[in-house]
Amino acid sequence: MKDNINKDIAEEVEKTMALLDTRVEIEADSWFYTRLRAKLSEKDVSSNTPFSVLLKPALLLVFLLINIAALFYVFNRSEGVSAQRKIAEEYSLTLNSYELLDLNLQQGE
Amino acid sequence: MGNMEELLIEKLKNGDEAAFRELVEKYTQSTVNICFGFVKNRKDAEDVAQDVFIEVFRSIQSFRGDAKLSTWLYRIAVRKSIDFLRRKKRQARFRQLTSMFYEYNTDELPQFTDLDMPDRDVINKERRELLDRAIARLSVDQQTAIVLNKLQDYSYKETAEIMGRSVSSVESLLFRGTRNLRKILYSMYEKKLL
Repeated sequence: MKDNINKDIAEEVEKTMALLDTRVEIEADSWFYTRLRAKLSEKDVSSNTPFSVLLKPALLLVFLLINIAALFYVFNRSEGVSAQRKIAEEYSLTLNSYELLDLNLQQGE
Repeated sequence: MGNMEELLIEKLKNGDEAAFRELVEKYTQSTVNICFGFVKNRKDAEDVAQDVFIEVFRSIQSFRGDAKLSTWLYRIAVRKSIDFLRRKKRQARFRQLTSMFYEYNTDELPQFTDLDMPDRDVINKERRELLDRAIARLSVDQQTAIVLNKLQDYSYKETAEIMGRSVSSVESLLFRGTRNLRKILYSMYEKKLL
């Protein structure tokens, strides 16, 4: 049974391999040149417009600006946090309850 | 290189549109068929062939005449076809990944049609599809040698020139390629029958 299957497979492989010697040729579309010209001029237009010439540096500039803005925001934010902390310290908002109690006792004395 | 070809190259370098048309008309059929040998779809083959002519048009100034114009053109055709197949494989992998979230419409996927496969015989059509799948599993060099020499009937010398290799290296690629092809086909049929 297995021998028969192997024989069938080998036969099928050889029949398939024989197709390598039969050339498959297709006919190109009769509008090939017309479509090629259209594609060529389309590519010429898209690669030479002032927009595409300026697009890359403009994108780079936007990317840089976003990064600068992000850095500015991060530093500004940390400064803001320390300013908030200063105010909190000035009004003793950072003290824990024991320290507050000591402070009240000192003021009472 | 003949005088006619030299003249054609000269005209092309001067941006002569009639010369470009002459070149396209002369080599459309062979270029489309080389591309078809790799991409196995008429529309894709024509698209790739158009990109080949666009590249020829744009880079003709860099053509030094070391090889025949046709050899240079077919070399671009092979490279563009292989690039196309790689792109298609990447897209297929991406589709596989995104198919977890999105169900693709089968119309979007490239399919073989009777138009693409001139074999009318159903059994032979099936065999050819299997053969194409097996060829696609070979290494790029073995695949190129088989497509050019076996499927497109270029001689060993022409195949070697297009591939930029020696004739003996092409012979060896063909020998190993057909041997591997037999093995791949055998395992394909084995899976199918067992």
